[in-house]
Amino acid sequence: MATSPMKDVFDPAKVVTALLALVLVFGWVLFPGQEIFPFASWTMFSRLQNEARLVDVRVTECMGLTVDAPTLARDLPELAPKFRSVVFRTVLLKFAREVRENSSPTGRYRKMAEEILFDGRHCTYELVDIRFEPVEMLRDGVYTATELGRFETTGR
Amino acid sequence: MLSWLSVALRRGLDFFWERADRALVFDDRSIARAETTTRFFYASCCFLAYTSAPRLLELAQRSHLDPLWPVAWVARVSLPVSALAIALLFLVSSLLAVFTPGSRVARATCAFFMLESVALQNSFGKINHSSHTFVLAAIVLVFLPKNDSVTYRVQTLRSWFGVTVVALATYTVAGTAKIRGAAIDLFRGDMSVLHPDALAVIIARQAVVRGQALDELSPLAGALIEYPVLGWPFMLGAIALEVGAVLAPFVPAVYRPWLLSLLAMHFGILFIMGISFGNAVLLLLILFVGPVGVGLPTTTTAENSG
Repeated sequence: MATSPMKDVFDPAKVVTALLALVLVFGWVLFPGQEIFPFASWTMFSRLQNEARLVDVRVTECMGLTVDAPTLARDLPELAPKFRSVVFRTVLLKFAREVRENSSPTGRYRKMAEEILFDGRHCTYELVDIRFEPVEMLRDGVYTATELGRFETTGR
Repeated sequence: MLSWLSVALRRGLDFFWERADRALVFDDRSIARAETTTRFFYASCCFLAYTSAPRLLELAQRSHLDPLWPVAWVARVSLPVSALAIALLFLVSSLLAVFTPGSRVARATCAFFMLESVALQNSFGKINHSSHTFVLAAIVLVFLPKNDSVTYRVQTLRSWFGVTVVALATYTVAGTAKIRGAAIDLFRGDMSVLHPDALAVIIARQAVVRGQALDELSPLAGALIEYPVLGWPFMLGAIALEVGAVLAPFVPAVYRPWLLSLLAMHFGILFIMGISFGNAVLLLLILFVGPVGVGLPTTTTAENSG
């Protein structure tokens, strides 16, 4: 069957092979949490571990909110819905990494997290690392928290 | 060494496409199905463009961006203007592809602006991968042959087979990542995704990180936390489904049941954990009505069916 060179250039089989190779190679080589858009992002629920961790914000003071004692943002009705967003939770994780590694002088993820969570309010808060056993924390609210840093927003 | 690798790769690819050709049926019914599915795919792209526009415009109000590589340029331009342009151009180009699916320019433009749109939506700190398979499918379909090409029939069906394999390969990667993660967890003496309680722990962890109380969970999730062992077969079944997904298109008899099982897995994840993979589900539905696995292979082969 004769084919012109132009047809060979646009052979879909080659494109499929290339994309398949990218998906498989990137997918298998990368570790959980690493992503290469749009080829690799497939490590959801791949690790379990005995002790789970999350990053939260413990609010000490916040304009427009009643905060009697330092309270986790997830326990404040006005802020809790933000945690339903996986985007916000990931930004918080990246903010915590930024703080631990002192890797971003501009505080890119801090700004993103504050923008989403506090929406321009002036607040003071602690970034905390929380360790928990999932079923126990869900049933009894048991967890241990470690402070990663104290911050103040530049809001109103 | 290099020549040996090259020969092995060539033989591997020949074997891949030979098996693909055996699983496809190169008849008029299949090609008609492929053409209809292509139109349906671009109609779905148009729907995605329409439904993603409000989110793009909402995100455009943010002041901090973490751009993915396809939209790195946005940081140098105004975000609201870029978001509006991408939303509009994705909508227009996908509409063009609906009406002229035979035009490679229309398909390429649609694929490009879909890539831009999905990238921009995921440039605010987290990549949601629900739309990735759609983007990969759109890239493959750019290379559909011209309908006056002598290889039109073969290349059209092979393209759809390729879309199917690439989309399902992402499930295989996800499944093997779970096996690898389990091996690491077991090596470290931790609980792994293979543990009988794994699904209950995943549901509880997901609820905690989302700030949900036990009584806010669905009755299904509550039951699986109360009786963890009930979730074990579902967890192991889901991993097996994911791992084997890429092979399913090569076996017409199991292909559609496999797609249905993947759909059921997505529905389960939605009703138990409230996590939606809407666009991934839409692509699975498109594959379900597509030309792959339409029937048992006949003696018609790629060579004698131009």
